[in-house]
Amino acid sequence: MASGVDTLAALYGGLLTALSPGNLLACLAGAFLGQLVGIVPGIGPVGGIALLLPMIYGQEPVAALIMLAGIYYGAMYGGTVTSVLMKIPGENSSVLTALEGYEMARAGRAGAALGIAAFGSFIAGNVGMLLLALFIVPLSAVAVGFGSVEYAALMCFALSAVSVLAAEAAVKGLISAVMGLALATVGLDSGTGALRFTFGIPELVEGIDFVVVAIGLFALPELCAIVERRGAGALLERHGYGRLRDLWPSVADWRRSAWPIARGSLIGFATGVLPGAGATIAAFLSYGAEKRLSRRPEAFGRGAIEGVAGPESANNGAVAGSLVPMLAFGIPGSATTAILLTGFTIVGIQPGPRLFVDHGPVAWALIASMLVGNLILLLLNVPLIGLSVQLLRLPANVMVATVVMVAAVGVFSLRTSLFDLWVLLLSGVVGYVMHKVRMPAAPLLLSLVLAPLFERNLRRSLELGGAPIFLERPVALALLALSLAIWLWPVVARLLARRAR
Amino acid sequence: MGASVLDRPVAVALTAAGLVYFWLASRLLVSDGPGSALFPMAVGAVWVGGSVRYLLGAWLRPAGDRGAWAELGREVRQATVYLLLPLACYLALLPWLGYPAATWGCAAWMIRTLSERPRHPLVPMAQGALVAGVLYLVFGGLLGVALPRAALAG
Repeated sequence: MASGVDTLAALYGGLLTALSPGNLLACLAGAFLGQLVGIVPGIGPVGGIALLLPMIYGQEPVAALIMLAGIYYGAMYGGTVTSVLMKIPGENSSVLTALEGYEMARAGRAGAALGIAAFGSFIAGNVGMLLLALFIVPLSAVAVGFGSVEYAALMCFALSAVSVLAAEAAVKGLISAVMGLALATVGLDSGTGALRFTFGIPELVEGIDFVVVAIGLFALPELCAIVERRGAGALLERHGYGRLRDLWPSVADWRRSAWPIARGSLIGFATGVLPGAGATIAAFLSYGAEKRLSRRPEAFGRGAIEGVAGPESANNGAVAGSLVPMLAFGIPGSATTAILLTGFTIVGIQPGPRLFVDHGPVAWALIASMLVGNLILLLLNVPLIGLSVQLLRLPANVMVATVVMVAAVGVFSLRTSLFDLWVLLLSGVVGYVMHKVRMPAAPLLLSLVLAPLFERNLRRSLELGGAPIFLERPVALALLALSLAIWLWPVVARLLARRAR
Repeated sequence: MGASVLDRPVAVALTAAGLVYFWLASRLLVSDGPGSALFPMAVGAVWVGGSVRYLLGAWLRPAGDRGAWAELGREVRQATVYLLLPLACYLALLPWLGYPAATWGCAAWMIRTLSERPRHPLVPMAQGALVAGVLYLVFGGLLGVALPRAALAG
């Protein structure tokens, strides 16, 4: 196991790699593009990274991964801008920023809201990066000892967590997850060589492309929601935003935000590590904590800066946390990290226990690039705010048409397949219906990614010793018990609440 | 659980889809053996179980009133007419017209139909051309993607 000094030395080496001109440029481009796609309503981080995935073809692995990571946190921050200025959260984790930040904007303090969100994100991102660097190597060492049985149980846990935590009703999360698993069984079965559910369609032999489904599920329903509100005119309402250029929060703002940022960073990282919990739950936990701890809880909902600082820090801390299961175990914990995993596959790197052994310099450069990326993002914010405002003043019709065309051409560019475009449309329709019945799309996407690995490990485990083998391995048994506990928790909580009443 | 007027029909559709999936998976058992069929069958069983639970939950709640259905109908019509249908037409025409013409036409059509106030027809056409042109430059030029050519042009 690496000591603290080894970790620091590896991180320093990674930083030097990340600071090389090519990688720095990749990071800058990623953060810039990420922020732009994050600002455009209807794309968000998942759709944004999926759309920009073709950009990494032909690049060096380090530069490609640094660019993807830059897009990730750039898109996360981009959602903040739309939340504060338009009350349209770019993603679920920005809902609370939309609540408090928009109220601040209405009071002429949009600059302070955006500024504290930017500084909070910067601090939380770097705290998360340091925690990630500290924990990742010991965790990878634990993961090396995992066999098929433990992996199958871990994936069962991840899917259970994402199904229950991502949905307001566990059964909807479960159905979403099984639909993803079912979609993943389409195509050639790598274990037996049999063709499953292809119905004689040659394009289905290779299976359904996960990125295409991601864009359809996440981008199209959001665009449909904008079209439903047709009549709203330009997306950005015109009212006083105060001094937008003045992004430096005042001393009083800092005093009120320092602890929320510190707490949000830690809550975010810890929550991000859990599969399925991610940035949204982190933001809500942080908001709840700040409201409880505040001396003026009545100010929340009316533009409290703590309500921006805490959740924004938490959702950025969660970005670093969500990289932990992906880098250590090769298992993405969120829809966004699932797309990042595809990016790793494109450049020929398999995240997981062997990552730091086989591709140590690349992995450390990626982690260190978060520091550089966060700094770039902070520096970009000032000049980009003006551009963001102009972008948001684009009429909705032009923006919707552009995003639809970007989605279509982006999907086509993945495999130059016209069939994928029909899959995009179908995924969009399914996503729209899911949106209408409040069924989360993240479990579907995550299970679509995890299914092949889950089936392979499950099959191998059953060949090794049948179902009882899961009871013989303590780690697998513990993970299965945790999965069961996750499913039972909503029922138990309901019973406890009823008894308390 | 947040109720939606669509819960009942969606639950019925999901249960039916789950049953069809399970039936197709069970046929794999005969044609390809348990190795290929076991996982999909287990997934199908959980799908059907979950959907039945969802169906029961949806049926136990009060059904949506006429106003909620009318509102939903309006929203779905807007999304279908202004976004999903143009996209479907675009996909159908893309192989025949090729990337530049199809993208230009679709973008211009969407910009025009989604417009808040009547504009001169040349405005959406110019905006559509700009969208198609910029995307062509980025994907076709910078990224080297072989964008579809018009079958009609031979």
